[in-house]
Amino acid sequence: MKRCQLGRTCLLLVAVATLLALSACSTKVSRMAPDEVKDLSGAWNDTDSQLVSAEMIADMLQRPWIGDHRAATGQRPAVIVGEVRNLSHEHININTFVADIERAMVNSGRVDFVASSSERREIRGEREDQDLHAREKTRNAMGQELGADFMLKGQINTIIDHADKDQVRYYQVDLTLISLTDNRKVWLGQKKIKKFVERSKLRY
Amino acid sequence: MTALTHSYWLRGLLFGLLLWLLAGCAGYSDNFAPIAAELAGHKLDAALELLDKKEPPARDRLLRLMNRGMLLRLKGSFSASNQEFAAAKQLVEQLNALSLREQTTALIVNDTARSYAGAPYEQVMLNLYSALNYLNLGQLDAARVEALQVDLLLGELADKELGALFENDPFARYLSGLIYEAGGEYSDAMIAYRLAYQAYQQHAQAYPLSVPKQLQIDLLRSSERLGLVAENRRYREQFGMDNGPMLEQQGELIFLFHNGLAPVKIEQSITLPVPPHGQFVRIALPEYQRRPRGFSAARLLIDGQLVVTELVENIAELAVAELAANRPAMIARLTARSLLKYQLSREAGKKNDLAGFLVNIAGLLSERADTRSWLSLPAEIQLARVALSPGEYVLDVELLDPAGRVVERLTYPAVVLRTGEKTFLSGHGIAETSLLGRK
Repeated sequence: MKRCQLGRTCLLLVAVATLLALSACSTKVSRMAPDEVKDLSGAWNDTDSQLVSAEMIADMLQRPWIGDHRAATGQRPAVIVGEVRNLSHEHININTFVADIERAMVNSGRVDFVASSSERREIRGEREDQDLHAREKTRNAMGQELGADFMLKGQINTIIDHADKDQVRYYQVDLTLISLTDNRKVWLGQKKIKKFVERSKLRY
Repeated sequence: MTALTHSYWLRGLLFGLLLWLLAGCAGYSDNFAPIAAELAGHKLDAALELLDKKEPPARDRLLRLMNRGMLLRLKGSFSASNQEFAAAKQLVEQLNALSLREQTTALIVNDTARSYAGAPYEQVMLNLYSALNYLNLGQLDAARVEALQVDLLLGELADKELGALFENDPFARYLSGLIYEAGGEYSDAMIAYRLAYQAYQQHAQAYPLSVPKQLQIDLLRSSERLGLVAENRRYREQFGMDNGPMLEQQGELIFLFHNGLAPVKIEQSITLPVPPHGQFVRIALPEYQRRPRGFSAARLLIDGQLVVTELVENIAELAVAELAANRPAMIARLTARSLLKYQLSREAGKKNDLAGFLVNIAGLLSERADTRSWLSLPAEIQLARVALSPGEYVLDVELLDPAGRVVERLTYPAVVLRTGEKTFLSGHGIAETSLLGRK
């Protein structure tokens, strides 16, 4: 009788263990808010991209160059994003970073934003097409583009220090706003991020 | 049954049978032989199909990623290839953590029970071939990321104090220098060229390799450009050469020839009787078998110029040297495992002769050498640099056999060279004769 009970307990244990093992097999998805911070590997992620772009653009819009430009021309400055170079240790998706910057600037309403050269090419193609095919009244004429006053350029750099399995990752993002009329640098922004990454020494 | 286990000659016969069975067991490299055959026949789609046909066990996932990456690169799908390599690098990172479960299994069964995390040279090659893929795609900044990553990797390998061979990789340093120079970062390029020079000298002590003539020219040019007068003089004396021209006004072609296939690991084993108790102990260690290169070099014909490639990375010999350096650790694990297996079968044998015999057989059967390695890697990388005035050129590449005869031709119909820029091109050559290493 006792033996039978022992057998049953064992069976139960095996069943529970199997269930646990099986539940670990299936893919589990849980939704997250886009602004929720979740650091997985210590690499550059969406949080870094958002943080840096939001803070840097907030800083840029407070500086006197906007006021100076308005005083001189009476108009909002028009800005274009040039090349943001990735000089870091990681393959960073620069496009999302640039998109974050563009959004922060356009939404501020304090600057005009000009489409990038590749976007312009596509739009010009469309205008040429309109010239041929669109009704007279709805046509958009050529030669009416808004020329940019300033170009935003930048780079992302990293320094990584390591000992054994631990790493200190230091990111520095530099953005420069350059006047297209006289090559003056009107604003320099810098944002630093430092992370301490302890990589696991054990795995299953 | 007890009569069987007591009778020595019957027992000997059984062991003989067992050994014969063991010899017939397929190692990892045998699985790759048909894929390599397709590669030599330039049938890349068929090779990929063969590779994808069989799902490998989870512990061999890295090998699948590395091979897929290389096959896709051979096919010219550089972005897809880099996706595989990126996944492989991520996996290596994860596998760097120690798994107690796998270690215990490896101690009881054999080394193949552990997840394959790649030999140090293979990890370096992952970065190197990712960088080359990016250069083929014309993404210099992304290639630069790989150069930084390989520097980090070599630093981490140096932390592990495995030996001088693992701390520096000659071509990884040299390619980093080329990438920096292509991006106009001359001081970084100088540092990388210096490290490369050091690495070539270090590695030359362990296996056949020499400082490439091209690197000597690069060292001279870079030190002259940066105004490092004393260093420049030293190089001129060491190399017996004068400063060459600066390349700012010219376009430059850097051609890499990836020759042959990396060596395969085979199992070397011996089964020894331990007399007092009639037990047997089996020792199995991996050993590299080199595959014949097939080609000796590539000859470039461009704009009336003839340039022959020179060796910049001897992957095959590096692999052999690394395995030799790794041997003491393997033997230590093997000894511990043999002792454990011997003890287990003795303990079992004390209670029941048949049980002891069966445990001994199980121990012998499970003792296999770890013959896993990245088999689609080339055996060596050769390089040629040609500086020409900017323009579009037709490049013909002749692959030469050891006797100097042309056996295969590659043509690149439109090679564009721009002022002050470097254009990277690669050609892979896998000869039929490279397959003879394994049946």
